Amino acid sequence: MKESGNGSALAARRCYSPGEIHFHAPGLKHYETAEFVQRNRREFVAISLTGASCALRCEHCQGRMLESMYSVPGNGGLYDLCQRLAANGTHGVLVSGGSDRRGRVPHAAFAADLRRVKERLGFKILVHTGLVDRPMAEALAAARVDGAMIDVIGSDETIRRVYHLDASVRDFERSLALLEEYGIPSLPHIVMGLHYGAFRGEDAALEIVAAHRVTGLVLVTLVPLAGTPMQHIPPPETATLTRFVEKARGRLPDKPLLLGCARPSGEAKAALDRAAIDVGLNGIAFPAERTVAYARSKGLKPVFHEACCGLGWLLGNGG
Amino acid sequence: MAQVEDIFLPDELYYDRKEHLWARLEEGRVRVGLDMFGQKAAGTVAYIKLLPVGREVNKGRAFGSLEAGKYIGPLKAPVAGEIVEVNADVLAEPTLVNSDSYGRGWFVVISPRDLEQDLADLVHGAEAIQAWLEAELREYKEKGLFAEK
Repeated sequence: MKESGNGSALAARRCYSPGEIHFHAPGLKHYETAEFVQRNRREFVAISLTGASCALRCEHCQGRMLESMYSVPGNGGLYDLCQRLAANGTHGVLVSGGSDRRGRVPHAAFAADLRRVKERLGFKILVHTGLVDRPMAEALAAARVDGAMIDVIGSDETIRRVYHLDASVRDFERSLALLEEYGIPSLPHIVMGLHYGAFRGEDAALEIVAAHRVTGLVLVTLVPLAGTPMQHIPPPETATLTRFVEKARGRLPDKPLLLGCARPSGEAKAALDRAAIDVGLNGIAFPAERTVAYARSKGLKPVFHEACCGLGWLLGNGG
Repeated sequence: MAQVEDIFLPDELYYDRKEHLWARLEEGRVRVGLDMFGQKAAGTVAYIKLLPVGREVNKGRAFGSLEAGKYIGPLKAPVAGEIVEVNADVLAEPTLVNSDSYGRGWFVVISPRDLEQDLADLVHGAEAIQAWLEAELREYKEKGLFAEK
């Protein structure tokens, strides 16, 4: 890593988040290290609108990620579930779900419930959208969700082969544009190595993100799940990941740049986290052991949150 | 054998109430692993780190750490003593914890310092294990620590 590159990346971060770095441990998993212990696992939880079912059955997931989320039994059940969660100390939800054949999570069908959850329970609401069409954008705007998160893919081949989706890069760009048009704060994700561990559409995805009025960008890594066709594919090398993280920092110098939940495990994760700090990222979800100490050694003040890494930025509160 | 739904806990083992680690007595030594309840709550295990042979560990203190789909955190010793064996197989293939919780998925063997005292607060005996398992499952579901289906 060139010293000059580091310096300018850190300067880029400091111009809007002076001297701070944000660490996040939402209730998606139990999290406990010597540096950061999650106190209330139910503070911010994930809900699937479709249970474990997903029409796309992507190569790296096959619906497995949905299995650990709360499941909504049907329309009308979302509010009841959130009421029960509120009674147990929940203050926010990530509303996700499997996609239909056109790549959409069925938020439009739950719009009334989403709005009740927002208005009556006062929850912070983030949504995973999948591809966005106009009815969904209208529904999410009417529900006044706090933010939308969407995986932006920059390769038609990856969309077809990995997502099994008959769509194109332009559909992802259109989705961001619709969120923008309806005033829904967006926090796109780029999955590094999504094409069977190789970099294929990441640069194009970065350009799409840079061309839109997004709140920030979350970078995650391909982590193939057990029992999927990709289960034996290793995540990309740390050096490759770091190069892209640094490129993203340079391309979006005035936006929050975050490392999201999906990352390699063990030493690879620790190395990526340290590299992310070196190149000036603003936040890290579920940091590896000793990452907080490393951030402190770089003169950064750690700030801890028990919610998704994008929430604070979407609410305009900083990380 | 205690069983609720598809979770079973062998009667001959001792269980740490909070950490869901099992302890098996083997000629004065203690083999340690994660029970089936614990591995289901943690999800698919991706990475395990263990202290090396020869290290002393206190009861309730970390002898390693584990990363899984729904858990990132320490592995806390159910008994105090010296680590005399480390399972190289589980380090190389962490999903053994999920596929063979009570067999090849063990973590370490500890030569205990004060076995009698350390076993006193572990759950043991068929009836006690069954009652504890049922209570744990109820509590985890009420608190939402298991995802609802």
